[in-house]
Amino acid sequence: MSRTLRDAPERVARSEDMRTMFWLYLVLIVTGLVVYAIVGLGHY
Amino acid sequence: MRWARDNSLSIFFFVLLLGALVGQALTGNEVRNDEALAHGEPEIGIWRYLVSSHFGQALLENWQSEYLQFFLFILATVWLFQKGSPESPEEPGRESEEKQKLGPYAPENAPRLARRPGGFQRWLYSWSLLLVMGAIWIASWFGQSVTGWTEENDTRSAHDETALSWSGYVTSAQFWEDTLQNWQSEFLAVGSLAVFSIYLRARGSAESKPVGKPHDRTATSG
Repeated sequence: MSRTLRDAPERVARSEDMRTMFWLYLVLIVTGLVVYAIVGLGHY
Repeated sequence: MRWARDNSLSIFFFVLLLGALVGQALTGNEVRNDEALAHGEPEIGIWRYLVSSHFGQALLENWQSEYLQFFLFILATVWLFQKGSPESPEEPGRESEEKQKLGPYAPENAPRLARRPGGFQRWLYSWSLLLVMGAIWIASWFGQSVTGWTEENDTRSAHDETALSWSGYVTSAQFWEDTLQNWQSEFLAVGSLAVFSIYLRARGSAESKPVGKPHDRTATSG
């Protein structure tokens, strides 16, 4: 590795950078749970 | 592209999930329509199938067993020990405030609730991963029960049999067979991962010890 690359300050990922995937999974799961509870209880 | 690299693990599994869901919906609809034709009932389209109990039961039956697996694995790895396994803590237990970086030991960039000296909110946050996985398990198991109940009563209605109550269905052999056949595979997979990872390695994986780490050394950290 060149000296320039090795010495370059690494950009640290902030917690906001991971928030999209966190919410994507959570919303998908909650939607699935609500939809199929209604489907089952509604005898669809 | 930095964002994609930072999230490549969760993106990879999300794409796999969508692909598997599409495949499950298409093949499940075909199976359901074949059964319907055999009984002289009308076929249904893919959009109607996506909001059917047939699809919902197949989906949630698997969800609940996966979330039970992770719920139990997270809980068991607090209190139980497997010598030599990277999946096991070195010392079972909730660990000290210092080791868990709580209260006065929390760094400046620690989650806000971890910096509290104690109390219910900190307790809730300290167990939030376990609580969420457990809540998803219970909710998906309930979803499996109501979609399975609807499916069972559809079959009974086609055979001119009496409909079951929900409590009758959740105490039936059918419900428990559907449940336990999923649970057993999860327990096998977790138990075998815990012991296989004592002697076997996957270079670079967070689920493995470093390749050169001795077999009798517990926990992942090199």
